[in-house]
Amino acid sequence: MMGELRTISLADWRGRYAQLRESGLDEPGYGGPLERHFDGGYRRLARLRFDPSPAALRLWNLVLTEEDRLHQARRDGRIIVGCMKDLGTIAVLAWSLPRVVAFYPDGCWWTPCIMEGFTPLLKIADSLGVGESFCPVRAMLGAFLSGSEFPEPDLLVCGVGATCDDFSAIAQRLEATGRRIVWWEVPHRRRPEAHEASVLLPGGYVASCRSVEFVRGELERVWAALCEAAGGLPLDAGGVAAGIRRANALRRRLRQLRETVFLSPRPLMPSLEMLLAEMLAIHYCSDWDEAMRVLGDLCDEVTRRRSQGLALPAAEAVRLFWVNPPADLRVMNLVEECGGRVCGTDYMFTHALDEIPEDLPPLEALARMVLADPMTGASADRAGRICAEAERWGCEAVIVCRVPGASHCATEGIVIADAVRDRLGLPVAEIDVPPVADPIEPALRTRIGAVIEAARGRRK
Amino acid sequence: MAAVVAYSSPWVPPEWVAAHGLRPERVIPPRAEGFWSGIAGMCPFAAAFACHAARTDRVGGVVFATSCDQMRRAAELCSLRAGREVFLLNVPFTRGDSARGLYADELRRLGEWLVRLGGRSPSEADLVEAMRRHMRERDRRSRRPVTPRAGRVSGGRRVRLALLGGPRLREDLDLPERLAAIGADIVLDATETGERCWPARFSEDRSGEDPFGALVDAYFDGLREPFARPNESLHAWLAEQIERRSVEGVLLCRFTWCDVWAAEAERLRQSLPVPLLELDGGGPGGGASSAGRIRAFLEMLA
Repeated sequence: MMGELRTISLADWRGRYAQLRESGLDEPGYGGPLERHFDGGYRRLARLRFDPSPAALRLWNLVLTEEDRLHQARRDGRIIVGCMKDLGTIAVLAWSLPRVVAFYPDGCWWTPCIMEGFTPLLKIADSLGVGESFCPVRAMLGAFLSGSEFPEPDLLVCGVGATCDDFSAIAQRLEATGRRIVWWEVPHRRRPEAHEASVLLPGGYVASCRSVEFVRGELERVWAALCEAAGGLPLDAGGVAAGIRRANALRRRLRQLRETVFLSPRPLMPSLEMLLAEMLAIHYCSDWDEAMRVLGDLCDEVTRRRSQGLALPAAEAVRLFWVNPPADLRVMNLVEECGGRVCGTDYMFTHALDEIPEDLPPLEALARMVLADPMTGASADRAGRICAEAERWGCEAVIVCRVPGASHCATEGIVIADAVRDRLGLPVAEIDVPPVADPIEPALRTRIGAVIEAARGRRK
Repeated sequence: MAAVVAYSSPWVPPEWVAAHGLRPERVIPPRAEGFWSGIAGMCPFAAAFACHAARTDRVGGVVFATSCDQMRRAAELCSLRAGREVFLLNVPFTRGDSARGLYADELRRLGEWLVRLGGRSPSEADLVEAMRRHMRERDRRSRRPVTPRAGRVSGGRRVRLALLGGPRLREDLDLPERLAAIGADIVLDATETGERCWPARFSEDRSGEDPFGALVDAYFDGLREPFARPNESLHAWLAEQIERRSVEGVLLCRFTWCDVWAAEAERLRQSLPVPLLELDGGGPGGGASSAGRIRAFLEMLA
């Protein structure tokens, strides 16, 4: 017997929330009805469809209250570190120190979406000459200058080199406003020369030992800056190994969730909530304990659904592999409305999902994670991992989601699409998704629908 | 006949290529055509260089540099699509000893690739000779006025301009002459092929003792790049040159989708002591609207 779950709207959540409260919903301090976030300006929520579970409610509340936690950390006198661009590695280092809170201001790139453009952040960026030719991460510049999104970090650390030009250029403008940034070099992950010693990185890429050694030196420099910011702690203060173990515990829980959902023959959790869950791996949404709890609840929920034969509709949904995060969250709903479901992902931070080696000196292990970042190497390498995972998850098509203005998007889609077609013979489509995609929704439906149709055609 | 090694980035020392017995050829490519011209969001210069590299038969190998994300990725596409022998030079963005060491390592790796391409391992004497030859050439160019003083005066007198920006396309090589014809003298070429991206002068003492170290230092310390983090040295150098050469206005020419220069434009506009005109598009100074804007800019300055 297979039961069917339905996603619900923000308006539906009002009744659902009251119902859950009546039945004794146990909520953390940041809990509450979802609609309060809409009232606070997160207008996009009214256009989204949500999973109806208490676990999903807790996930949304955790993600949408991060700003409050950061302000509380400031009031508590904790050191706030703004890590930029590396998405998942410097945060592990920073969280290893006592009384330090680390987050990625990069996350502001979703603000124009979540506020449906009713935010001054992009206008501020425009006024500084950082216009629409840049990726939506330009909202970060506005966030710093307006002080509206997060408290001013005590320390800024930014990885540059084999990163996107948008971010590097915007971060330089940020520094020019008088903020000190600790820059560190992220070298291009090149193929090792024939005579060079090499290492297999988490995730399957290969790097030369020389490159790893170089990055380790850079991380030592960053570690020194972090220790200094944390009150002049000695460099041998330790704690990094424990920080790595904590990161890995969270990554293992996330892996369990992804495997349960992606391998299930029927959809157990909507793609939108799964995207949010993956984001927790980057910096725990500023609260490791709660991120663990949220992921645990989600794992319990999907396990329960599987054992009870409950699933979301669209049993015939086409299994899609999704590349790059969509600038508009609504697109994750759209893909399901078009008859697809996301069963494999590369949201540009797969290195934050892989476990960090615990049998190596901590900075050596983290250096390997830096080089395991899919964006630091060749798109062909990234395509190789995408193909391997798409095969493993049984994906039937691949969608490459272009980020408007992003420097990597011009050519990477060509390389990835070639590899997917050559190696897997799967349909693949590139779609452009702006922060608010409503005006082009019909075109997006057509494009996504076409790739789903092609995948269905292959079933016969 | 020695194989030709094509490159565009100023971080590729021609001295190093020549010392390996190969022929360095700095490419100023024409606009991209065909496949390369139709890639949405691709920098026109990255597309042009990759297109040229993919199509030309007369080069043994092509060197790209990682100094921007678009070129880093163009290198891969060129290699995959054209089967071209490509070397990607990892240029550090940060400053300091570790970045300098990375650059030195990369030049050594480039050297190994040049040997595989048919070059020879250079002796110190080979390198010193190549360094001296190229330094003499740069000295000669620095003494040469960038534009001939000719043509009609705009607004009653000639205007002293600095040309700023990244690389150029072949179609734009006559930009200084076109500017001269409407009353502007380019007294500072701060594009990627101009003085901004010349290495520092080689020290004779250092070149004698450790020519490779002198080469690394001259490039690492000499080039003023917008992508350097931090990039204060670019701004300081530019301000100094503007004052020293009595520059009256700056023409910033950048390509569409070039984030590096696009982000700096407004900052330069605010910080420089003279007006700045920003032109973007498929190539510096191209197009009728650009020509009109340049004329208006010159009239305003004059």
